[in-house]
Amino acid sequence: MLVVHANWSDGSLHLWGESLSSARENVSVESPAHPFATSAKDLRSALEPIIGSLNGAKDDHLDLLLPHAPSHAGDPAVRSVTLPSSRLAGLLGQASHDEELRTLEPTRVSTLRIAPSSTIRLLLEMRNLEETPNDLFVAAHSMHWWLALTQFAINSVIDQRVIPTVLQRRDGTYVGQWRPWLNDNDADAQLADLLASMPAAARAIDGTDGQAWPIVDSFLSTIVDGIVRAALIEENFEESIEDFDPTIDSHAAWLSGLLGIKNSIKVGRRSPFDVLRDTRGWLSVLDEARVTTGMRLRFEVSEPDLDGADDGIDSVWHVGFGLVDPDAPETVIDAQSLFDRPSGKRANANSVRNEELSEMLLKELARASRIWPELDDALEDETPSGIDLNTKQVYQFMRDLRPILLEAGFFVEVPEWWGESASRINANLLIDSPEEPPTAGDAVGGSNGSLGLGLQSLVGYRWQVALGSQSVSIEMLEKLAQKGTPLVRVGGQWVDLRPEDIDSALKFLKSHPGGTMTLVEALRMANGIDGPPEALPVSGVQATGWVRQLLSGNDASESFQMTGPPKAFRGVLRPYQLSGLSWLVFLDRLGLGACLADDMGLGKTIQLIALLQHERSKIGAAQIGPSLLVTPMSVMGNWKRELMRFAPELKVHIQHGLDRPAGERFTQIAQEHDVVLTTYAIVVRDKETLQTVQWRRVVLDEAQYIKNPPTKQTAAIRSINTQSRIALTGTPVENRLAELWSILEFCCPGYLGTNQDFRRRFAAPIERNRDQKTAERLRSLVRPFILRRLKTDLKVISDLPPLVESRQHIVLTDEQMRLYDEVVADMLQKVDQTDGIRRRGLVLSALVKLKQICNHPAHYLGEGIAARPNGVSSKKKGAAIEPVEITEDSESETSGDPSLILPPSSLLPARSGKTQRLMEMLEELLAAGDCALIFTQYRQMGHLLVAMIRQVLDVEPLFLHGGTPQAKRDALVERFQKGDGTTPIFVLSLKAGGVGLNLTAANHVFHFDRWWNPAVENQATDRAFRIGQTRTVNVHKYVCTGSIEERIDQMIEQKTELATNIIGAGDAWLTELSTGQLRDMLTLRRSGLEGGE
Amino acid sequence: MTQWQEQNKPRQPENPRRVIGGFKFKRKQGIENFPWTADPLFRAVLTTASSEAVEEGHSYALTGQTVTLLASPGKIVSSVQGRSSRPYQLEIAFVTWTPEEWDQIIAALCSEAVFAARFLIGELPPAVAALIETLGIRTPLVPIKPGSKATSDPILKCTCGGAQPCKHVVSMMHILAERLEDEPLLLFQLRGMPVARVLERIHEKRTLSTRGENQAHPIPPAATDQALVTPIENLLHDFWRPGRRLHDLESRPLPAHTPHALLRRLGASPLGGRFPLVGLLATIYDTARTRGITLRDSDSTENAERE
Repeated sequence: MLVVHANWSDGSLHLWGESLSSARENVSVESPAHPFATSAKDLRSALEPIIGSLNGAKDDHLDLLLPHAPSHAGDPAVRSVTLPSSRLAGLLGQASHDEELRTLEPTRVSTLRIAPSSTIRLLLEMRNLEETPNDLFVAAHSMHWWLALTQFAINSVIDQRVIPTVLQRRDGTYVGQWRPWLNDNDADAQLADLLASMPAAARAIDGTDGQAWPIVDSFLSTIVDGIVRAALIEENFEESIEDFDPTIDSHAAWLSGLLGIKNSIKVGRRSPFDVLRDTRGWLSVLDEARVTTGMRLRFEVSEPDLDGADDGIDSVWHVGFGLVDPDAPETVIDAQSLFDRPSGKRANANSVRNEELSEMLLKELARASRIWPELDDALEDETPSGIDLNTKQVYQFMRDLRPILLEAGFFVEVPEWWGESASRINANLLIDSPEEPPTAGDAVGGSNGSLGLGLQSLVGYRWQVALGSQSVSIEMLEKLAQKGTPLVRVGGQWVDLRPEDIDSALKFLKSHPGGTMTLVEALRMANGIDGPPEALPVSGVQATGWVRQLLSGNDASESFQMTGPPKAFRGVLRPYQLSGLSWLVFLDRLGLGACLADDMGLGKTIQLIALLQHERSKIGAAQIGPSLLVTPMSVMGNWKRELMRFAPELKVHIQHGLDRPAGERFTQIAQEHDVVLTTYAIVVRDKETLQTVQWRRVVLDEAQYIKNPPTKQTAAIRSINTQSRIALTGTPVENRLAELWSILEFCCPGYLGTNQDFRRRFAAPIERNRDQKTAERLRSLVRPFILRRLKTDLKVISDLPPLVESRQHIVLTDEQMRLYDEVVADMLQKVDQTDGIRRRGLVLSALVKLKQICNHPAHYLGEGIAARPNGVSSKKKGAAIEPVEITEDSESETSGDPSLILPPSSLLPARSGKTQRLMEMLEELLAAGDCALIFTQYRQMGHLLVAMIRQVLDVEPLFLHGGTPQAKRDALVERFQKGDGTTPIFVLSLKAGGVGLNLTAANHVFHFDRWWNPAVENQATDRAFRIGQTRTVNVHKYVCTGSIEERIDQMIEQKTELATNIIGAGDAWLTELSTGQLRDMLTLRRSGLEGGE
Repeated sequence: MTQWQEQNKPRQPENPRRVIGGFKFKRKQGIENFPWTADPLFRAVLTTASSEAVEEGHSYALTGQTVTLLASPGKIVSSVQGRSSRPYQLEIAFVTWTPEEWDQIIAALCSEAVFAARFLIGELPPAVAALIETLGIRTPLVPIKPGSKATSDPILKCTCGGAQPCKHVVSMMHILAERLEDEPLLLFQLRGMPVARVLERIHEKRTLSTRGENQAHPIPPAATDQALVTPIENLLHDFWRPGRRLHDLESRPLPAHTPHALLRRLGASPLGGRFPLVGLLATIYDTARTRGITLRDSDSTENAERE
């Protein structure tokens, strides 16, 4: 795997690579060259299979300024080593060096210099690869910024914010160039964002001063010029000036450098400098509003005074002039008042001021008349205060001239209704449906809760065209069309009635007389898909009966029947959970799939459990088929526990482990249970077996795992026979389009069309063109099927306590269990043969080992400690060495952070149930924009977590432990509290970070391993849960099922007598137990969840 | 002047006809102590002219017989009122520097900022003449070989037909010398380039060498906002990732598109060519837009097919 970087230097794009393999080879070689950089050849062979031939690219090199860390190697000549980029460090899982020790040093890297003609193609290839990972290379973090800049250049061309300009180069030659026009407010704001966010790496070219603008300027003008020129060459624009002699005609001379491959300006009779000067003069017209100070001209369109019936076609509109200060545009100086003769004593002072102002007004009018030549007529008047227009003219003024005048810095006030969709022609979809949905009933042949036909239900519909808020008939439309004016009054309200709009409206109405269609068709049409043409926007859907309920969704919970809490439910459902349940019940009854996407911590699990109970309370358990619950391995323990706790009456079968039933036996078992709990991995393996059952429902937990592009797993899940489908996820699924499609394709197959269709119709316009209309359309299309409540929603917040605490019951992996058993067996065998201090030592050390195993096998095995990049051998912790790590910070370290280079396998979160679950939860909360604190007792575990977070989640976590100096602690806290989203995760050692700090930016607190004193844990929790916290704080306590962790957790929960001892005395009490008690306390209890993967 | 000629002009008066509003030579020091810019040419004219021409020319200058004096690049056109009913027409043609010589000279003048600065306040440091000489340029800054031969510098011509320099030229030279004292940069014009153009070319050349290029467009405001960009030395903790504001950019809606907005704001071209420029630009903008849309959407179908 290779990391591809981009830089721009001397007008060319340079690519260079960094790689894991060169890192491994070079890590012990003490060379001042970049230890991770690849050769241009290696880069080429990684890129070409994916993005096609790079024939035009030349081998080159760049001298960059890159971050270095002090070297601790023996050779004193080597003072520092190049650090890997953030992307490579993530892949390596390398821990960070102390920032204050970093320096910038010149570093040479081999590059591929891309030929100008293929630069755009290459960047677009890179853009297209952003979503589809490949095995050969991965883009550096800065690449995304380069692609944004490329997109900005393309958008400038699309928006025609491009100017033809002339440059004189250093060698004195004159060239024509197309470049983006960046001096308007809109463009300038975007440019400011791009400059401010430009990564240091993108401008760290040695010998320059790290400025952003020269690089951005050169890049943008090169790309824009390349795009425009290529289009002009293709269309042979050069031909158009063939008949003009550039040595005579200055226009032809100028264009000679703009239309073809060559950009040099042909020297005419006039010096090319004259062309430059004249061009400058011309282009400065665009900039004069910004350059000149003073007042700006303001136009105000006032409606003619008409009575209700008048259609307004022949009326006269007045556009009044005025002056405003652009910094305080509320205060308008009316032009008329300037020309009025002042009288009285203050007249003198006023008249001087008025003279100045009327001078300004005239100047501004002259400036505006360049854009709006008709203004010249107004200027013939000695005291111009306004201009009268007829309806057609005023329409043109508002539609065509207004945007240009605004762009040129003028102010234009138009009537409120202008531009509102309500003043345009639009369509209403009327859907007719009965109160109760049609059911499949007998068709399925079962009386088991007769479900609706779902998306295939037929509904009646017809279309209605409206002008403004009034619906109109076809005849009336035709009559209006004959008048041929674009602006007309209907029922006292002005309507923007473009002839082309009327045409398409008429055409559409005639071809869609109404009738019946399926629910899918109706919903798609209602949201403008497969529906009326663009010119006839759908302004609303009016539905009756069950469709109305569906469309109003959970927004108006009063519109459908609220479901009470099921009697069997052992607990309390909060009001928002009840409305979630009612929503699930409603969709279920219609035979429609649902995606419950509530924020993490709002209780999706119990809403689903309540649904299972609800349906059984109505019909009786026997008549309802089993539900299949598919979850990641890491949450299976939780599900089992929650089902037992809230719905003990439900019969749950866990389809897991090596000896799980198959074939007939499974079918039998499934029928006898209410819920079958299994994992994503088993679904793939037991596909055939699962297909033999007719399921009542398939539920996917953490549904974001069925990702795009479709995998075997997705196919297997979709192939299961079921009456209804529910997806649970905590990610903001509506904003993650690839996920959205996959999940809805599961819940409501076919609803969003094929994946390809979806990309073309929605994903591309929304992601690339930031098309708000399409985004809104998609949101409203999926709204009936997705319910997402946030912890910050007003309705929810009033229901939520400020602190929500939950336990995550984690299943150990096979490797963890094997290690755990070994340690317990070894210890039990030894304690019998010893006593006194030695015995106590044995017990304590075993306890520490077990806690480490619960954390991660790498923690216990001592993998990945303190290996410096220059090859200091890693400390191996074997069975021979007794670990003395009872409290954290006892690991002896001399200075700063060690730089960890771990064998990547040790970093696999999948080796530990805890880390796997942690990564899942972190990903979810990051997607929701939340921030988290993670507490662990062990500094080494902290290092492992930091490395894994960096590798898996690609964010830079903060890490505070006992060895962190005070100044740095303050800096870390400050950075985290800044809450700008760049450092959303903070790993802290419990002892160092558990007291004193104020970390209210976090709304999640993880206790990754446990300290048996609740007071200490609470104190840590209080870093986030304290004054200044405005959100609900979710506390997640990790407990490994069947382990000593769970045993002690239970004792504390149950407040046993033993527990009070434990809390007081740390771990010492354990050493006092008899061997039998120890066996009972420590031996791993199997729960039926382990193994099998 | 020959006898025959005298006889053919019997009606000529003793004294030249009076001119109202002509250029009068009013210098306090008289013809003494002209500066280096004016003195060599003036002296050379006096020494080559007959004593009669010098004397009469001097008195012509004092009475203001010079009616017009127009300096254009490389040439002075003037008219001096003598005894004849109409003023005599004078044409003084200077040797001009070739474009190559000018390039050399401008480049040399740019090498020291002090020249450009002095020129701006209308001064001509004497070092300039020396500089031009060291460049190996044959024609000196200050002309010193007035005469009527083809190799003279300047070549003197007068419609009076007399031997050169005639009294009319002498009279006019008084006025020119006075002008050269006040406006020494006029010498550049006499060598073939308007002063404004010289200053412009120096400015142009200097920005080219300091900024790398001359642009016909303004720099956008954000580009000069120093506060936007964090120095890379301060980004060591976050060296590789784009800053937060990229996210802001990507979540902000794109500005609305107005067809040909810039073109309509620009109005007609000031370049004065006959080619219908604005019309062509409109077509160009539309062609480019189509191209841009194609690029923006280029992958959406191919990519989906790959899946």
